Amino acid sequence: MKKMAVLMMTAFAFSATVPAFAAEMTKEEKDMCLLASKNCAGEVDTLQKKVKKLQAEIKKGKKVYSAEELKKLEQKLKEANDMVDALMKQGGGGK
Amino acid sequence: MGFKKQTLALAAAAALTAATAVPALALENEFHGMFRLKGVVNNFNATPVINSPEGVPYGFYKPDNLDKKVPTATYIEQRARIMYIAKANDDLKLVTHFEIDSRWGDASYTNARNKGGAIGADTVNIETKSVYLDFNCPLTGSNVKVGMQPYYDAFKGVLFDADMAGLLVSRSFGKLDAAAGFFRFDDKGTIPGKKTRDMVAATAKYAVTKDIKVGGAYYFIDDDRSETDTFVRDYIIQQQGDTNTVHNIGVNAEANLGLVTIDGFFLYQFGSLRAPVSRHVSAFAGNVGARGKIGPGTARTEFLYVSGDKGGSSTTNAFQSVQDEHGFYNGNMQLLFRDAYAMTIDNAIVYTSNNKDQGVIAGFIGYDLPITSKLSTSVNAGFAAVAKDNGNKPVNPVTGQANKSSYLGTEVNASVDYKLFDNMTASVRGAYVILGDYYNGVAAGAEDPRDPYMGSLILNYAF
Repeated sequence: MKKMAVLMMTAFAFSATVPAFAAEMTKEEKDMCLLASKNCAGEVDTLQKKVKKLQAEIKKGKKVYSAEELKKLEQKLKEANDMVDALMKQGGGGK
Repeated sequence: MGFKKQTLALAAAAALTAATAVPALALENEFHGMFRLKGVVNNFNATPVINSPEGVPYGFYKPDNLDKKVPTATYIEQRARIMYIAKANDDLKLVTHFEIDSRWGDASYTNARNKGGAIGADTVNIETKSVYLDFNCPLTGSNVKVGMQPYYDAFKGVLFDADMAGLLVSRSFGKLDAAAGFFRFDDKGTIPGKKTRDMVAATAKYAVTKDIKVGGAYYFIDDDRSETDTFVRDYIIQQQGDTNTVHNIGVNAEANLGLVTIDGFFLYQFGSLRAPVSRHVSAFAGNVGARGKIGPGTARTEFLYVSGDKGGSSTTNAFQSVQDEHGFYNGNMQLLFRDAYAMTIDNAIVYTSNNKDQGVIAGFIGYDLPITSKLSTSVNAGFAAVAKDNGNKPVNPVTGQANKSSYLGTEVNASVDYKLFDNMTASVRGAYVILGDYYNGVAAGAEDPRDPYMGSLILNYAF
């Protein structure tokens, strides 16, 4: 009887966990890089995303970052904005 | 070699490979870029009314003694820019920036810049814009940029704004940001360093408070190229000596007053245009701009004055902007001033700040209205007049007389922008210029030239 109960419980436990496990496995098995160009190895932020992320971090202010770190983030934000400017910069002058 | 020894040798080789590979792995490879497509229908760009002394489609508007009816030009051009940055760490990186332009249908199977848009493509057309080293000096704490780099003036681009070879050292001292640099624009002699055009730059910006910044800049431009070098291409309808020296000294300021942000500058020039012109230079440019939230959008306004010269005296008041390697884009004009979205085909009524030694007086207003998170519009209006009349003013071909008016015209334009993706926007734009009395009766048969217009469709992708 005891054996039976343990078996039943084990079976129940498996029945409950297996579908969840299976679902997770399926998700994990999907190569989102090939499927949707997401989560690829070596993926880097676009400049727009980088600017947004930096702005969000700077907004956290001194509660999270030291003055030195904030300065560094601000410098990186300036660099990213300068890069956007350089890329989008007008100019041709027929040249 | 026994199995154990082989294993040991393999392990040693692997360790060595890993050890040598680590610094390479630490290198961060950063790619960025943009793609722009511009389709145009107009009676302005790439038409006979554009003055193109070098036979290429760029320059000033010049309807003098031409048919008042300008043929409609339609074209599609594209530009791609690729930026590769090899970043060793936060303090050291190599920046490279390349550009590929063409007009659809222009040429193929050739070696030429700005070509390769015809069927078959296969054109050698990649341009190098920038190649420079950017590092934070561990000895001085300053940032150093050395090589071919983008650099622009502290005066909204009225003097220079271009890629140039040089060395720029910047450093912050608390609230003060200072920079000094040396740039070589040209080196034309048979012996390098003898016939050069160089610039020495010194700039500073001081944050009085979080919202108020004041700055100053000095640029010394010394042009020692000789008379054997042609200035026709460099300085478009701008009086120059065979050699020239110009000192540029100015101040700028920006104040965020809550609802409104105000900024502006004043720049004075002195120096000389040497033989055969032999004239002193005393010229200036000034600007005030403001922008602020009004209703659901942002209103903008700018005023610009650039001094001009009548000619005939020992001193010229013509502002000495650096050929067409600059541009004032804050007015958001498309025809009156150079278009910020212009690519290889790039023309304007006021094409340079110097404006054929006439200078310019201009005012602009604009309003940017976001409609949804993806859709926005912008409307702009601007007027321009020459600051001084001189021999470059067009004349009535019948009477041979120039108009008294210095009023060049008024532009109205609008654009609708739709964000297809976070980093891609499609824009539809229209611009119309009501020509001023400066141009009255200057077309063939003493007719008034037709007002310029442009309709354009633009796709912009940046990453």
